[in-house]
Amino acid sequence: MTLPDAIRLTEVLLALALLQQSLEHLRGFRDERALFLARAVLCGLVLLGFASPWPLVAMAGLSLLILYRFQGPYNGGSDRMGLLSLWCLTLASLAPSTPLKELFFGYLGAQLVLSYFISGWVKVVNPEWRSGRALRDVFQFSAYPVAESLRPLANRPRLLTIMSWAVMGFELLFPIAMLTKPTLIAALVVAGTFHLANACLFGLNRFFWTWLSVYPAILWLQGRLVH
Amino acid sequence: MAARLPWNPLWNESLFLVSLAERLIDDPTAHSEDEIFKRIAADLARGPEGAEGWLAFRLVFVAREDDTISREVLFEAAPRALAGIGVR
Repeated sequence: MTLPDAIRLTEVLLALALLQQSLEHLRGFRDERALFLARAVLCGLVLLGFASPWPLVAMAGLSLLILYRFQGPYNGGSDRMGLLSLWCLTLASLAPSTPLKELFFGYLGAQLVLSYFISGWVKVVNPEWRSGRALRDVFQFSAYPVAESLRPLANRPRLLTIMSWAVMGFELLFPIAMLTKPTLIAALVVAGTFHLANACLFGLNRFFWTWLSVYPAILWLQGRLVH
Repeated sequence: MAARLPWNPLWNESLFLVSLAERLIDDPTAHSEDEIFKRIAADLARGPEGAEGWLAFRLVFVAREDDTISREVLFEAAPRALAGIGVR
């Protein structure tokens, strides 16, 4: 995948992810509706490729107003990754030279690798994650399961310990998948399935779309680093 | 479950409320308290008979201590008149 193709594909996928979030906010308060209606229009312009890169630049500016409105991210990690992607794409699109474009876009791909590895590291150094207890707590009493019918999963400690180690193992080994294109594609399929499961079990739909939208950046970065 | 993928605004608002509750404990600001009041009041106003009177909320945090689950009230908001809370 060439750099312009990868950047354009990431732009399109991010615009779709941000459009999905913006539409959800249109049922909110008046000030939210104004901010997110503006963002939905800008997403449409990015999708159409109209007046590039200015709609992207405007979206980056608007992201600061949205951060101010909520005094931080609305949806934690998924908003942070969306912001990172938006700003990297904006800087890459404004950069005057190819090496600078590669630097900004490559940084996005590198952050995606780190997002998995650091997430795995934080878990593996925690004894509660290693014993499966942390995941049991999630199902037993946290606010995250989308349905009460999921809470009995807390009574299956062996399954949850296996699931905990599967998640930690995958996240920690993710950087190794960068060695070849086929292993990276396989890892991204597994990661996408993981985000899909989180969307279904914990209602984290924004993580699914946001992380998926950054996959072209990591695919490009792998090709750039290895070849 | 698949329907949550493209459209899950209420759940995402619930997760934002969880974030606001955590912020109120870790780094209290008027913004976090105002937002929680506003979102509860808006939810009550959407009910069949609307709502009037006063509104207060408290934050109960649940944690595990060895094999028991403990609940602790870490924040109690002073009551506010519903009429004075903007819900639009």
